[in-house]
This record gives sequence, structure tokens and C-alpha cells, in this order.
Amino acid sequence: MKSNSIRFNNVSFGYSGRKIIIKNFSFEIPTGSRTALLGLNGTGKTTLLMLLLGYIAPLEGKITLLKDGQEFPITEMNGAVGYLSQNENIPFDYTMQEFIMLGRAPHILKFNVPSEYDFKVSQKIIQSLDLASLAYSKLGEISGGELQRVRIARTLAQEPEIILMDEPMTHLDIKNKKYLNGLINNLKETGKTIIYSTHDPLDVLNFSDRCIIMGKNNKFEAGETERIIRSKTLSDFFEIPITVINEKGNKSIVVH
Amino acid sequence: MKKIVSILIGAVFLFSGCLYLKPSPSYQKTIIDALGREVKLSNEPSKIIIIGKQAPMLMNFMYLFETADKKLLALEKRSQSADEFLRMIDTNIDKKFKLERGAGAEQIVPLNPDMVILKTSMRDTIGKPLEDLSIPVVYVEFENIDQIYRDLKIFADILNEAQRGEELVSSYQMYYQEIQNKLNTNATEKPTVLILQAETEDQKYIFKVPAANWLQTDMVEQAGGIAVWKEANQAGGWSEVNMEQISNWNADLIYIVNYQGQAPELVEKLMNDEIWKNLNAVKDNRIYAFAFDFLSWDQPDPRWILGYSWMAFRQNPQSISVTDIQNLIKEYYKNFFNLGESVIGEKINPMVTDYLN
Amino acid sequence: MKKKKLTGLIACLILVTLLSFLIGRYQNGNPFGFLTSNNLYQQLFFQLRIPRVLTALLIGSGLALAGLVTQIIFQNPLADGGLLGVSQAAGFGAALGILIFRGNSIWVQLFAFGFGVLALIISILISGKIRGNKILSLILAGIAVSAVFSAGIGILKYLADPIDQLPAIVFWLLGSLAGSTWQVLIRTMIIIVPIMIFFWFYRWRLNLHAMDKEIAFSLGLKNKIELWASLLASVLLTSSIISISGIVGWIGLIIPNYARMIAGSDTSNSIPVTLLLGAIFTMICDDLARALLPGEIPLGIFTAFLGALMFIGLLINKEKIT
Repeated sequence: MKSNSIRFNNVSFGYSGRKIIIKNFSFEIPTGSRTALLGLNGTGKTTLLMLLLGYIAPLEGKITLLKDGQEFPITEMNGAVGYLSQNENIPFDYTMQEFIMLGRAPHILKFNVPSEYDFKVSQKIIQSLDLASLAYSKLGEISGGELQRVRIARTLAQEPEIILMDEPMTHLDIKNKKYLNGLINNLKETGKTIIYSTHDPLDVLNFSDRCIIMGKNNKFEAGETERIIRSKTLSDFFEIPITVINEKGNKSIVVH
Repeated sequence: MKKIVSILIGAVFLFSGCLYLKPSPSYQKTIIDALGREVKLSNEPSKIIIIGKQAPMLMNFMYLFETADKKLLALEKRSQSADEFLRMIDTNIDKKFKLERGAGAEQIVPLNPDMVILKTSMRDTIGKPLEDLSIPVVYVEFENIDQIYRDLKIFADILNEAQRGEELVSSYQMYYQEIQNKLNTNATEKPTVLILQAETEDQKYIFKVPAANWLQTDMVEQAGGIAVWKEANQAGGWSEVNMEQISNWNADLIYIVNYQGQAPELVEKLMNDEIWKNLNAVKDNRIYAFAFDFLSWDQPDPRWILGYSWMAFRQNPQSISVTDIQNLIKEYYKNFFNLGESVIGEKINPMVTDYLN
Repeated sequence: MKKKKLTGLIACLILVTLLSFLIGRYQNGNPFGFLTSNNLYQQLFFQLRIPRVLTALLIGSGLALAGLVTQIIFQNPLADGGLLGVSQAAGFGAALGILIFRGNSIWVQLFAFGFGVLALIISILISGKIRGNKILSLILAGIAVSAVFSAGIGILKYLADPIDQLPAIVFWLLGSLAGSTWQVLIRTMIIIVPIMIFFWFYRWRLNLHAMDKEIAFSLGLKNKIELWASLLASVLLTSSIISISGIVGWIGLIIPNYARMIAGSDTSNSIPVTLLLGAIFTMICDDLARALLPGEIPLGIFTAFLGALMFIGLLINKEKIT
């Protein structure tokens, strides 16, 4: 059985008037995996996510989904790609329940309101993310970590097949990070494809089976974490001497 | 020989000295204007400018005097009608309209006037800058009957026509008294009266009532009527009222004023209007277009006496007849504007017939 | 909980409407005299008072709705339907329409709408050229465009003045329902009601526009069609109302904020409440405008006065305006 995957076919992209950020990217991301995007600021991590979302289109090449032997552009996924931005500006004070319900939008006709079924789905997600106690709280009243969970719940309400996250770990404390990692793994187990950007190579080493590392001058490498997270590669891409220790029971990154 | 020359030289000096000492014939006059200001004149004004709001009415008052057309230097272009009447009086008047509408000190000064006449309300905008430039400015008001008499005398003073000024005031007073006498002999119940300035846009009407302290309000009451809007419009200016308010007042008599001369048309439309048909004034046929020849007779303008008399006629038809008014018009235009009977017959009467029916 | 509030508001609307029918300057005897043979009162009641109250109801909900939609689209609780110069431009367009097509009203409404949209586009274009914070530059562009069209109204009025072709400038700047008739009401309903129906059905999905662009995209807003449709519908709503009532301010700003206070931020809840509150508020203001004093007082004076009071109340009661 040919495995399903997301394919980058010789993709290049640059914002108009600026230089090319992504050049000749070709790699595959198998579905049902957890892929981390690693790289210094400005190397195009967010851009890559935007391309996957379909929000921007490549200048050259195409991004496709290979599913059960059929290949079609990722832009035809239609609501099955969920996106969690790093920061979100929420100008109105929704209740948590109302906010999560927004995730049902791809499943609700344009001139309809949410149905009983939509309500059931969002309730289930609220339960699974331990948010039940906050159901009627306004977004302005909850903590940062809780808000993160609420936003994820909204993304999950979409019932997405692919979940994109832009630096979801960056502002979380240790406890919440652990929770999020656990959540991501659970999602992976259910067959969802998760791709997220991060600054932390150790996190990648510990939790992600796959990663894509991006560097200056359109450099990139993609594949299994084991293969990519190595001293030489990291030192190369981050431009500082780094030692990767990857032994059973001891995984660490040492920055010199 | 030397002696004769020195005597001659001495005489010359003495003579010229005497000439120098003799007082030169100068023009000294102080005018007290409507604001109580003392305006000192050093020569008789012969280059007068009238400008600003209601200048047409001030011009009409000015042309009551004989020497006005010679002494007026420049006027401001404003409404059409005023120009037509004044053109009849002074065929050269078009040459005088040198100032564009809204002109200010900058346009006035180059014309080098020796007097500018303004309404008191124009002091801040046009008056003060002129005063600062030492141009003699005289403010007038003409907003009620007493002011009209007072300000006419100011004009008489400016134009050095004191006798004419007296004539005008006594004529006004005489006509006024004649009407008053007729009203008093046949004292009947005073009708309630409503004055509405009407404008129409796009089949909608906008009605406004005059200010409580305006000439119109005053004249209605002095012509034997009760001005229903008096308590309602204590604030200045024309104030909009809606149909419900008009219906609530349900005055016995309604005057429709329109400054574009469209009042007769409007009255006809209103008499056929579904709602207006129910008003007392329409039912009794006592809704009238306010009389208008070249200008509406309701304004503070030389024609005020005609407006007043005409209102007395409308409000007390048993005491005052159409003939009374027609005679008044003849007398008035003869005495006030020096128009001959044929001119009055040709030009004025046709304009007024509609309003006398 | 929500159902009770909604029913309460509907009852309030009906009550205020019926009471408003009984308020007016014509006070000769029985307020219910229109049922008897007082023909004058009957005429006034059915030909003037009822259409005027219903017009107030309609423009009140319309302006409030436009305000809400604008707030969502621009993600700013302090916006209203006239944002970016739309109000002043619509007023200018309507004035121009009156000058050119004397009395032909479909053109007045078309011009009002056309210039409203023009102002929107110009503001957006200008703000694109300004470097820096996008929201700030939009607001600045809007202020400039608004000022230009406001001056434009002044110029038109000055030019038209000798012949007095235009409603007093006071009408444009402060609004008035003095000219309300059945004809005007029906003409306005033809435009406003379909737009309200559109937003009624769209009332839940409108929420998406309050999200960040990328998030909204991921949730299904794949192109700008819905955004432009909503924006244009809102501008059409605002400008057709302005063409019949002049510029009436504060309704679009304050009512949606109150509605959110009562019903929450979800537009599927705040839209119905906005419509109801807008209608109630405006009817009360017009009752005062036409009946408090013998002379007509511009509607905008009451909407501003009461609106500002409500605004202060809002600020005091909440730390955050959302």
C-alpha cells in the first residue's frame, strides 16, 4: 500500500519585491506523522506553513496531497487543514464555547447557524481538552495556557486532517508544554498530520519523528529526526557550534 | 522806491498770513449709528458701499432718498428680484454692482469708499476689519418699526437729506395710523394667525415660523391678530415646524411666505392637499400667499407698511377693503419711490393682483 | 436565559412602537381620536405619524446593523457604518443627486451609495500608501476623506443657496425625519429589508470576519468575496438611510456595544439584539425630536446626546469594550 503523504514538488516562493525565501523545495511528509520545522528567524518557517495552508501560492512548483494513489493539490483540502497562529488578535470577547464553535465553520453552510450536531462535536472536544469548567468563561478571563488550549480546541472542531501550528510552544510554561506535547502525540496516533514550527532542537529531538530544518540561502533538509538532528547539521544551519548527544536515556543539545 | 517795495512785500506777507489764519470751510458731522457708535465724518459721504446680509433691503431703504443713486459707489450682487426693482428706479444701477457675493474688506478697500453701511450682525465678519482700517462704518438694524424710523433718520443724516427723512417717517406713521383707525372702529374678535415660510423639495414641504421678536410677528399682532407661534419660537431665526404642530395650532388664518415668489402656487397645492383640507384656514378659505411685488412684503424693507396694511386687510376684511390697499400702493410708490401712476399700473399692480384676490 | 432576554426586547419594541404612535405635536383631545371621525387627526395619524415612526424603527435597526457589521469587519468595537468617510460621502452624493436630478429620488439614493463606496475605496487606497500601522492609517485616511466630503456638502449648499434647492445643511449634518411619508418609507424598505434578510441568514458566519485573516482562511473564508459582499451591503445600508434622513450619528457606534453587553459577542446573538435595540433607541429619539418642542429638533441631536450618555455608562461599567 502506497503511503499517503504531503508532497512538495520543486516549490519556490518569495514575497513580491523581495528575495526568494524558499527555493526548489522537494520532500515528502507522510500523513499521520509529527513534523517539526526548525530554523533561525527569517528562514521561512511561517512562509512554509502558509504555503501548506494554501494561503499563499508558490511561484514555482506545487504542493500536493497523495491519497490512496490519487494526487491532488493541497488547496483542494477545503477546510481540512487547520491552522494555529503564534499570536492571535481577538477583538471581541467571545465565550469559550462560542469561540470553539467557530471551528465548525467549514462544516456549516454559509447561510446557516450551528446545528445540534455541531454542538455535540464541540462539546466532545471541550471534554477531551479538559475545558468543560471554562465553557461560559469569556476569553478575556482565562490564562494564556488555557487560551492556547481553547484555540487548539477550535482548530480541532474543524475535524482537520492536517494541523499546522506556528511556534505553539514558544510562550508556554513547562507544564503546558508537556500537556501540548502529549496532545500532539495523541492527535498523531489518530492519524492526523501535524506540522509545527519551533525554536527548540531538543524538543524536536525528544518528540518529533520527522523534521525539516531551514537555513540561510534557501538551504534545507527534510526527513527523519534521527538523521537530521546531528551536531554537524545543527552547527551548519544555526551557524554556531552545537553538539548533539543522542543516546538511549540521554538526549541533549549542547551549545558551545 | 525801496519803501514801496517793502510795503508791498509786507502786504503780501500779511495777506497770505491772513489767508492762512482764515478757517477753511470743512464738513464736520457726527453720526450716531444703531449700535450707539459715534462715527465722525470729515466730508460728505459720496462713495457709499452697502454690503452683507440683507443688503438688498438696505439698498431699497437707501433709494427712498433722492441723492442716493449719486452717492452710492458699489453694491453686492445678491438676489435677482431686488436688482429688477432698483433697476427701474436707477437705470445706471448695474454699473454699481461691482462686488461679488460674500465680498469682504479686501475687495472693499481698493474701491476707496468713504462710508460702508452694514447690518449690525455683520460687524464681526466685515465691519471690524474695516473699522480697523479707519474706514467709516455705520451699522443699522431696521428689524422692527421703531428701528426703521430711527435708522431712516440715520440714512437721512448720512445723505444730508434731513427733510426727506422726516417726510418718510411721517408718511409711514400716517399710513400706519390710518389702518389703526379703521381697525379700531370695527373691533371684532381677533383671528389666530400663522405665518409659515414654505419651501419645497422633491414633493416634501418644509415650513418655518419667524422668530418671536421679528417684524412679521409684531406686524401680525398690530394688524389685529394673534400670532400663534409666538411662545414657540423664542429663539432667533426661522424655526422648522412639522405638520402636526401646524395642525395643532389650527390657526384661523394662514399666510404662506415664499421668497422666490412661488407662494401662490404653493397655496394652491396646499388647498388640494389631503391633510391641509382639514385645517380651519383652508376650509374657510383663509389661507393666503403673502403679498409680493419685487420683494416679499413681510420683510424689514421699505414695503413693510404695505405688508402691514395688507395683513390688516386680510385679518379684518370688514374694516379694510381691497380698494384701500390699491390706493395705498399708489400713494406709497408715488411718495416713497417717486413712481408715476402709469409705471405703477404697468409694473407694480400686475405683480400684486394675485395677492389681492 | 437568552430566550427570555430576547422575548423581553421584542415586547419592549412593540410597546415603544405603539407608544410612539400616540406621541406627536397634535394633541387635540383623545389620543385615540384617529379611530373616530376627527378627520384631521386621522390624516395626520395615518399619513404622517405612522410612516414616521416606522421609518425611525427601520433606520434605527439599519444603522445599528451597519455599525455592527463594520465593527466586525474592521475588528474594531468603536467603528460605525460611516467609517472611512462613507457617511459624509453619502451625504454629499445625495446632495449632488438632488441638485442634478431635481426631485428624482432613485438617483439620489444611487448617488448616495455610489459616493459612499467611492469614499470607502479612496480611504483604502490612501491608507495603502501610508507607511506604518495599518489600522491607524485606515483611520487617518478615513478622517481625511470624511473631511473632504463634509466640505463638499458645504460647498454644494453654498452654491445652491440662492435658490434654496437643498435641504438645510443642518439636515445633512444632524439628520431629520421631518419629511417622512409612506412613499419614502416603502422606497427605503425595498433596499434595507433585503439587506437585513441577508445579514440575518449570515449572522453566524459573520463572526469569521472578526478573526485574523489566516485563521479565517483556514476556517473557510478562502477569498474576499464574502468580505466585499458584507462591506458593500453595509455601505449600501448606511448610504440609503443617509439619503433619506441625513447623517444620524452614534447609533451605529453605541447600539452594537450594548447589544454585545446583553447578548455576547457572537454575532448570531448580537445581531437580533442590535436590530431590536437600534429600533427602540431611534424611535425614542425621534419621539423627542418631533414632539418635545413646537419646533422640529434635528434627530442627530438626540441620538448624540443619549448615545453619548449611554457610551459613558458603558465605559464606566466595563473595563474593556468588546
